[in-house]
Amino acid sequence: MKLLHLNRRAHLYLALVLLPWFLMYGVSSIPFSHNQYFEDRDKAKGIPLWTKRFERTYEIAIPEGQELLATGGRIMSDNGLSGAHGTYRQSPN
Amino acid sequence: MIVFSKTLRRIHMYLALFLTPWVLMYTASTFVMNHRDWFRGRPPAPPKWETVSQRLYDGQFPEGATPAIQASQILMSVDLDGAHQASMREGKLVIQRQIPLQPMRLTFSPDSKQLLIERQAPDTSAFLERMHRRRGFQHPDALEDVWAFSVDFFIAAVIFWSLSGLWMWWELKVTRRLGALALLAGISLFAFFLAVL
Repeated sequence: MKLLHLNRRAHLYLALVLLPWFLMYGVSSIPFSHNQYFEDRDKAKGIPLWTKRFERTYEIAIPEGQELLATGGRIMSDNGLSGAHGTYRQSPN
Repeated sequence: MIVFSKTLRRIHMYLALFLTPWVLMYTASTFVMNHRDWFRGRPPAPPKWETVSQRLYDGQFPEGATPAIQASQILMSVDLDGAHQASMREGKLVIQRQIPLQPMRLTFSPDSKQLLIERQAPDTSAFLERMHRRRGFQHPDALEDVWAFSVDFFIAAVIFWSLSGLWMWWELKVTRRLGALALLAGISLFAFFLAVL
């Protein structure tokens, strides 16, 4: 009986603490599930997918292979940007 | 009000029981994606393909047939029709047939008329990621729409669980104070992440 009571209370309080995450994942799944609708809507409104911040000449040697994270970080810091990032090599196809 | 509360509690519970496979799949796949380095290595190893068959395909395509039309025709001719993506790579038509457990890849070389059919080697983490990302109504196949509808149903259930859970908590008077504290703590932590990430 005590275990059942503890289980119910843990379920309730854990759900209350994590409610923002739960709602965020639930609501954010809608644009994923209906991506075409949202893309078409943004296109109709003229909202671009990307907005250009700047374009400038910059030189750096890109290493061979797939380990590009450090190079990506260097490019960001050289250009006054910081924060979490991912890096990948664009597929030729 | 008592009937409403009881009905709400029952729907909350039975909906969760019905959607247990979806909850488990999204939980496991999110864990795999959150710890991709553990499961797939860094950088992630490319998928392994096993040859299923290599054969001559001498079907004729309609004049001006796009890669998409050619892909549909090839898939139908080898009884592999279903959700897929098609693209041209180095003069070859590459068809990715999206089968949940083991996706297949068909490579057609127009010059030699050779059709290579491969199957992806079993990989649990890759399977979970595929299932996690599989959504949308972009494929013409009815079965794909049924899956996409189940994803929408799951989304609606998540929102329903949140709102009905709040209601059920508020009805339990003894938990109101501590529950409010828990809710406030969650909102504060979430807001903190939003501000600093």
